[in-house]
Amino acid sequence: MIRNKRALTVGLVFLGTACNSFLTGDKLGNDPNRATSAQAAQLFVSTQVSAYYILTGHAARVLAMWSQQMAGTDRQYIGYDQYSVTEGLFGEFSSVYTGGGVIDHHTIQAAATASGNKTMSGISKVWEAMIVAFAADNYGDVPYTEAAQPDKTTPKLDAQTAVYASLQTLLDGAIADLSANQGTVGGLDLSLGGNNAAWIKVARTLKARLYLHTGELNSGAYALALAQAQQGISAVSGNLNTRHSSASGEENIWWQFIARDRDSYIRPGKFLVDLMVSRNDPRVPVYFAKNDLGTYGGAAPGQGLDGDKHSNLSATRLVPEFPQPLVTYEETQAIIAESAYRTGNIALARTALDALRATAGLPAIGAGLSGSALLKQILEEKYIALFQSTEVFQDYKRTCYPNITPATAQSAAGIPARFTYPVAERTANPNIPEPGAQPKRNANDPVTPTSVDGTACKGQK
Amino acid sequence: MKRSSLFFLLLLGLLAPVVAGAQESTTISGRVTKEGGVPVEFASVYLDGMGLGGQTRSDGSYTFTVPAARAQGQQARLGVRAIGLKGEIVTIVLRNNLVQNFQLQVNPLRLGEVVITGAGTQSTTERLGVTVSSVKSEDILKSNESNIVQSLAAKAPGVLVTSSSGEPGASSFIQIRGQKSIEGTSQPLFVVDGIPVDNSEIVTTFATAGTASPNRMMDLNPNDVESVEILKGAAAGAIYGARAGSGVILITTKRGRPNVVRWTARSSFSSDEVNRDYPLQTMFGQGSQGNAAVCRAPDCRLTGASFGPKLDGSKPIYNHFKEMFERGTVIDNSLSVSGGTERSTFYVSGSNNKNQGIIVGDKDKYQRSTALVKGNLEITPALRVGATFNYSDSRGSFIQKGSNLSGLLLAALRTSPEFNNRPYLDSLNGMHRAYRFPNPSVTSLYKSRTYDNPFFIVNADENTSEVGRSFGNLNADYVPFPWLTVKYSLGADYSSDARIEGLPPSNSSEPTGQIDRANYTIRQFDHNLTATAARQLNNWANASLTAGQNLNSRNYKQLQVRGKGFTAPDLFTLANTISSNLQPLDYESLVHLESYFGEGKLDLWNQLFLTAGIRSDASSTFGRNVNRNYFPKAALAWEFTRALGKSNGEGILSYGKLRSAYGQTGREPTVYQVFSGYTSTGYGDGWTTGLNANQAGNAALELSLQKGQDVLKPERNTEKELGLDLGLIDSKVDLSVTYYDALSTDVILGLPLPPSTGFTSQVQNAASISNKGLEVALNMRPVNMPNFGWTVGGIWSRNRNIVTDLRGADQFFLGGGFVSGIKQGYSHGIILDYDFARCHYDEKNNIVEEVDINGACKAANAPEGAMYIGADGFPLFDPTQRVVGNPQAKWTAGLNTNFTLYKKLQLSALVDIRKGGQMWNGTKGALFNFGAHKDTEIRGQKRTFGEDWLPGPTVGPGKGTPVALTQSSWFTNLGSGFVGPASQFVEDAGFTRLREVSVALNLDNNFVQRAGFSSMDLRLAGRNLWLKTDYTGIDPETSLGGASASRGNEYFNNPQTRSVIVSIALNR
Repeated sequence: MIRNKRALTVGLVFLGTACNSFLTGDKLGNDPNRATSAQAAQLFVSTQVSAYYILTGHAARVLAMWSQQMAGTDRQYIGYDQYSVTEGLFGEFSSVYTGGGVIDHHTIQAAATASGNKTMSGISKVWEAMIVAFAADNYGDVPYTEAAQPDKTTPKLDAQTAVYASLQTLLDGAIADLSANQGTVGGLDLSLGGNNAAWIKVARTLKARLYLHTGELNSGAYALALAQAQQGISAVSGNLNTRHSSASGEENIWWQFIARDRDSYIRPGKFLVDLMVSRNDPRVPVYFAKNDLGTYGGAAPGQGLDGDKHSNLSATRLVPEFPQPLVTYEETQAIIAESAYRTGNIALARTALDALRATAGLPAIGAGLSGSALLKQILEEKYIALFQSTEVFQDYKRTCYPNITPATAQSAAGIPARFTYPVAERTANPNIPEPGAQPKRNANDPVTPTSVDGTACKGQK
Repeated sequence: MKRSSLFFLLLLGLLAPVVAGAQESTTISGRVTKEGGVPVEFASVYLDGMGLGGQTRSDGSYTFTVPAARAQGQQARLGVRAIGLKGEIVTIVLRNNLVQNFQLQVNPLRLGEVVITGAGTQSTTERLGVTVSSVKSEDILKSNESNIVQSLAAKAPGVLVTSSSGEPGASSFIQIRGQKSIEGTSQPLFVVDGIPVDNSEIVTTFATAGTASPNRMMDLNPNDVESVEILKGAAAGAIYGARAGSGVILITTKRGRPNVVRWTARSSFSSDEVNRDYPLQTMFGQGSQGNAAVCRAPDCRLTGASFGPKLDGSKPIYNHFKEMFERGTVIDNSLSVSGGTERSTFYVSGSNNKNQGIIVGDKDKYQRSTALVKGNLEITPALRVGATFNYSDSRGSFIQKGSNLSGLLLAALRTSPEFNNRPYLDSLNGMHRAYRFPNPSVTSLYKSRTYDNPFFIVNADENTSEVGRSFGNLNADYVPFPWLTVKYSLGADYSSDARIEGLPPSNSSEPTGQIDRANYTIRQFDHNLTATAARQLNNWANASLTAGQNLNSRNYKQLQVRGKGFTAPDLFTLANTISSNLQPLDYESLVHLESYFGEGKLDLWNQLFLTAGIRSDASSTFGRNVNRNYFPKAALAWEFTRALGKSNGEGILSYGKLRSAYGQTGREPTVYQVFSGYTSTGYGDGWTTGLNANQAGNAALELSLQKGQDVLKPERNTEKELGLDLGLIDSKVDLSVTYYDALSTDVILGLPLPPSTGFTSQVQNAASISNKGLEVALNMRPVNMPNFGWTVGGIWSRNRNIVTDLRGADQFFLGGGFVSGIKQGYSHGIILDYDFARCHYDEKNNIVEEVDINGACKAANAPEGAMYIGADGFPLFDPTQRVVGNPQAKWTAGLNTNFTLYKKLQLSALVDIRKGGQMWNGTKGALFNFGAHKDTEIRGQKRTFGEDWLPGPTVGPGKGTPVALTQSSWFTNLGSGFVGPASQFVEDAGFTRLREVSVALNLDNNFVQRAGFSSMDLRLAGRNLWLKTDYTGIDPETSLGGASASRGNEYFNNPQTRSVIVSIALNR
């Protein structure tokens, strides 16, 4: 009897400690640290921040160095300035597609359309166009039609021209959505406060910009660019800028880089500073601070930082709150001027040039210019006015103006005309060629670059 | 009837002491010594079958009392047992004041000793078909390490221990038989007194920057450890199933023995210093292109480079490495008392370890106080209960290191040789001055210094950790029937770690000031129940069967808040920061594991030992479509010398055992990996802090980069091993050889997805990793004379690790390092970066800067790997990422020797050898860029690539052309660690290290005993006194990412130390 009792006790201890629900329950069957769903409004905010980072982050800094508006003055940035860029760089490519990028834009657009908020859908489409254009501008052929689709594990590359064409359609859709005036976004729209009319104009300028990018392939594109630009941003107050503040995690990224995190890595470039000083440009103190010797000077590529010679950014731009321009009235006028010139409308080109100069308080000079001198002036004004914009380098690749001298380096290959596909994409996606097999230039760039000043292009070969 | 006789015996046993008290008792005493006459401590002396006995003191003496009524005139068997020695048993006639001495022979293979094999099971050594390496208390104390993990270095073959730096409280990494997981930890499971305990290393901010951090096993006082058993292979670890994938370390703490109360007081003092100098250039000053950097105005910013003019000797030169270090100390005091009666025993200890590190200033230190209380009580002969309680209180203060603008050596080593970093505060206005910001203005409090002054780092920063840790268990052994034993243990482990990582204003990482305030709480509960039935089947066969259940719950909570923008410059609280800048980083996880296991053993003819078992695990971390996973094992040991009729341990072949085993273990997936979701982490580009997702008061979420996974299983490690244990030449030599072949499958991989899919990765049971190795342990006792004994031994092991399958993924990087990665067909953790263009005949598109490299190679008939030299005499940068180094050693060895003179004096030494294995010397690469490294003194001189610079075969039009290596042509160009390929900074990191050397004196003469002690031990020891290596960096033993899987990364890591230690132990 007692023997049985003991056996029973042993058995009961075993049974009693086995419990059915040990592996299920709160914090076991779900991750307590992450949301399992998100509202369109929450994704909408995040996608804008992601776009700020894509368009004004590391890639923008490198492009500004390659167009010699800025110069690398320390460590890795000295290398980047001398075109030592590997396929390991540029997380921006990834951000175009992943959370905060295209995949979330798809969710926003579907949810906003379903709930009747066409305003949100329209703005989301404009942002999507901007970031995908960034990829197409700098990488050429990129995944788009198969990108961020649940059943596609290795998205194919779409031809750059096809991507630009898709973006034109996407922007048309954005304009249609915004024109419907259905739904509001208010303060969720960080940059323009939910102003549909302003967004339509941004979309028009963006369309014009993308047409301009294809001008080398299709001369008819200039007329299309002109038509869109004329409906584009009509005043500086309608500019699309990033929105920043002094709160932690909301600061301007150039400020973060120079003033806080990497202060010695980058300075204004010698070419731009010298150009503006020689023009006696009123924007010199707006863009730059004086160097230690009390003058303005820029860094040439490959130099280490020298406080005596090198100016920093001005106190106007180097503040946490500075709104970094993305798509502007200045760019719109520059597109009008250039595309009018290229379509033979010299009068309009001159007017737009003068309107562009007027934004900086410069006197009108268009009436006295014609021929390639007019075009050069337009491109020079644009080069200065779009300081730090990724668009500057796109213009450079297309026009080779200003005809900058590349950094002295062992290699004579010149200034790279595109980014190498990032290693993360190449190694996981068989559609991406090895670095050695990738094209040197993108489809929209001229095959034999010649500077618009008629001389051989020094930096593009 | 049988039962009532049991009861009668029990009653008799209970009454016996009472009855005996009424009569005269008798004492038995004596001394136990081993070869060389050295006294044996902790030997158990017992009267066989009578439940009476005692334990030897440090002088080898023992005494115990036998109740007269039970003993007088009776014949009895008196035995002695001691770890590492052969037991002896003699027949005596009990009489009063009996003196019986024993001289024990060594038992190198530990035959007959009980070995704990985990989860409540045990075996004797000769029955083991698997390899279990044991490390004794004595060897742990000899190492003079306060971290139990570090004390295992070079003690067992196949066990690799690496300390991340010589700082107080810095973690040590341990890896058994190679790396088996990719994203998971390679750290083994630690089990103390049967209870799994935490050994995690929590990094407050960044593994590659921030500060050193402890691994939590550091909370255990090594003085309390009686033995450590290392379960290396899968067959040994299978009883721990999905937790044993990286091996298991079983630690047993000391316990009290009946009939003698003993106490030991031990004090040691260690004097530490930095073990190497660092090669810095002293010929050129701060500046660029030969021009001096000149500060013309307050708050000027200067170049960080030392490419200025040649120094003319008019200014003093500073050693910016050595000036950061001073003499450090470790003071360790511990006291333990143990003892008991026939039915109850206790062990109580307390200790204090105070380590003042070698970095100048008072902020490099770690202090640990511990207490351990252990008690066991026999309630009835069938039921024994016990309880153990450990408490430790650790307080550490750390120094910022690594890739960090506020990191100690980054700031110190980059400083130009003529710049005096002292004082670190401007003598006029008290502002932080640094070599790139030499003239701070009064208004510069919130400005970056580009790099902090290293003396500011060591004095002004505040990086602390305060840990309260308690762990322990309640246990019961119940023997309801003679053939059945039920064991139960309920354990708990709790730690709370309060951290501050604070950088005051004017630091260069966050000039307005930044504080991370964090609290990490770790809880673990473990319930383990086993029942073992044993039966003698007949006179040549014994069998036993064990069944068990284990429930385990692990909970981690992190409450961390980062504040920026200090109001008061030196107050490290969140309340002192601007409230709108607070960033919470809170996190929580919970894991439950439910397991059942069974094990059967069969002993045949006392020479063939079979073990087979299985464990079944279900974990909350498995994917929702995954049920239970099973981990089987089987082992066979055959003592073939018995078949040859030999059991006396004599002869040329004194003992021989052949063993083979097969087993499987696993590793649970990382918690919550199976879910996908939305986060609000924000965006950064690695160069800037980045943008929050939430902006302007608007809540934001974005899709996680990782795709969810419903079918995730545990990783599975299948291992076969074959071994031979031999005793040779009358047991004077023992040799143990083990070969193992382990294949880890279903290894979890965040399989990269092309980012264009919208995700960057998805976890998969995708990869396979193979580890094959050979382990040899050899011990010889060539001299064993009364006044002189000499032993010499060694361990040797090699492990070949190959990532055999990555399911199509080409390569990717590991966290915790800069250049560590994984590539199919290569070893785990290879150094993955860029190289110069070279002949790679097997690659199709070897085109660099439009040059067909392979074409040029073929034309010149150049060997594979020849470096291409362009027409200008310089190599080209190959933009394809590739494998440029392998941190895994070719083999490792440990050699130890011990001399015993006149029974009292012992000399011993341990040499640790690591052959091969490479390290990325990132520090050197960075210092090239700044012209601060000694090798940059040749600036401006001509060198020829392939000959006197980067020697090796070359090809190409510039082959053999000398070129001037200048700042811009080389050192800030392709010769820079920031610009050029990492391959040029990969160095051999093999070493030979005198890890331990000591002289010990054991005194038990009258003088000592008159002072009231039974004995006294005096020791003079050296730790890490000598190092031979070709590695030119900080130390070949270092780890940027602490105890992470990324090995072979050096980037301004804090250095290692060498020590001289004196210790005294008083025993009674």
